[in-house]
Amino acid sequence: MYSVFQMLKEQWINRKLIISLSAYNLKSAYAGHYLGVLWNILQPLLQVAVFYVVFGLGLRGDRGDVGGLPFIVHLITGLFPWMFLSGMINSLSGSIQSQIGLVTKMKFPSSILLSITLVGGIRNVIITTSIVLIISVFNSYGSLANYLSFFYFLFASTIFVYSLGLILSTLTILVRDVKNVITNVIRMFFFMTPIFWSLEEANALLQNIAKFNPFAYLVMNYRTALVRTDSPFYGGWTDHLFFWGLTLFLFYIGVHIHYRFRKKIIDYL
Amino acid sequence: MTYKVKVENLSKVYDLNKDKISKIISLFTFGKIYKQKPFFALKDINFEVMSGDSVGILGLNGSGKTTLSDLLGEVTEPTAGNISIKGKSSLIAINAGLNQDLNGIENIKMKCLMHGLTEVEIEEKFEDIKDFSELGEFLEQPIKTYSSGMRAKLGFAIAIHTDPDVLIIDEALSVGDETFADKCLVKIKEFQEQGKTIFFVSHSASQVRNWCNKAVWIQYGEVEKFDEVDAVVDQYSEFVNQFKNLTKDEQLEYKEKMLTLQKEKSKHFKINKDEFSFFNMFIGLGFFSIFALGVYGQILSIL
Repeated sequence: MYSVFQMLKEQWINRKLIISLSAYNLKSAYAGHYLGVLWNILQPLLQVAVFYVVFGLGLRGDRGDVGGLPFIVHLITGLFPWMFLSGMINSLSGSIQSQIGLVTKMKFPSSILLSITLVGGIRNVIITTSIVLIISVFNSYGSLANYLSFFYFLFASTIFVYSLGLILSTLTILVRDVKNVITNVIRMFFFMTPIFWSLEEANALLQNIAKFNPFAYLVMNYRTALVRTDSPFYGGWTDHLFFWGLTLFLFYIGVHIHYRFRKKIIDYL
Repeated sequence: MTYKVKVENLSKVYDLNKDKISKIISLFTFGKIYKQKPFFALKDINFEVMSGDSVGILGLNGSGKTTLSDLLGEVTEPTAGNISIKGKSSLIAINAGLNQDLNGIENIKMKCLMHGLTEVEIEEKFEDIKDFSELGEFLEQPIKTYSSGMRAKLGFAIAIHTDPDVLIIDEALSVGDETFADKCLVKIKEFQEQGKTIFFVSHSASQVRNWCNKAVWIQYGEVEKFDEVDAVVDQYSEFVNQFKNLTKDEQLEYKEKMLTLQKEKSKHFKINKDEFSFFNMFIGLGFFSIFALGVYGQILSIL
């Protein structure tokens, strides 16, 4: 338990460093690009376009709205949080391995490398969310109470991906194959999560599976926050209990694995 | 006078067990089930260094010089024993991590931030670093276009401006040209006058003789001699000359013999396993039971 507080303290002490280093990360990612940071908006929009053509116009045909919302709105409220979650799990699990070169010859807590990546991801999801927010306010899909619960989504998903990131970033260094496994598992979850399909219209089996899918919980919370008016949070108390039980457990395991191996990571590379 | 750096019974053991599966098992059983294959990179190192001392670290390839400098720079942790350093240490190596995509200016700022300097301090020191690196307008180019000499210069310029109390130079100067090395020498002299401690890793005996007042000779993971620089360097040079006079086969045989000896000594060592904490397991089980309750609740809500 002590190491959990130590981990949080480490992030708090280095908060300024994390923010400024994430700016350098962004610079280095788009070094030599003509459009630079603009890709942070273009990338998700292009992906939405592809999915809209395939699922909206292709698979669904001309079936119209999903639960009172145009399909495109349904799609982006699923795809944007998904891109945040999956992108973060991918990049967090590689974050120590890819940035270790910078810190090999210096004293530097490697948990900060994860936070640097995370800050970049949060910045992106805020950008994409503001697009959704503009659409939602313009068409008055949501309400203020719901909009505020976006911060609940942000908080919950940050802790969730950070916990997974702590575990996976260490595992990736020990066993390189983990990275390939992650890619495939994430792809599987993409289809199991109500992103382009609707949870309410789905088959009962699929609905039951979604109850055990933390991504479904998070994506549905995002959608509820931005384009629903009924209640600011998605899910019943068992959904919350399941998600937080899982997340806290993963976080605890992650912190311990991270501390156990952080001093030896250099020896493994 | 009190010490600046004190190394007591320092050992660094690497595990040569390459078996990935046993590593994973070790990860999930908290290191309970694990077969080790220990190898001493450093064994029972002891020395004490005063402030103002410059210590040369001599030794053949693979004798543990870089391992020692990593430990002194607090980059890795010793397996056994202690290093106490009064103040901040900074390690300069050839492959000092620079971001290949960023340019020199951005790298200077980023590395200084990582070394714990504030924005204001960086502003103050930026011009000095720029001048010292001699890179001029090349600083606006990305690092990936730099030559190895340019990289070493930049790395060196950054590291000595982070104001360390203990500076460890790991062969970083062997890439720079002599004019740059001379400039570094001036800076190092300045540090010596300020009473800072410098470790200088090299296989070149003459460089160590010029720059240091003390030296430590490491031979296959153990301290062969730690003394005033002349005494150590003389003995080291004698050894190297003797070694050179041997035929190729004899040289190989000698190295082989020493390595087996090193391995032999390593066999009896047990790496301390982490303490198993019941408290931690208890808390872990607590979180797990919340999760289990959640699963149970979800199942109930389906039925």
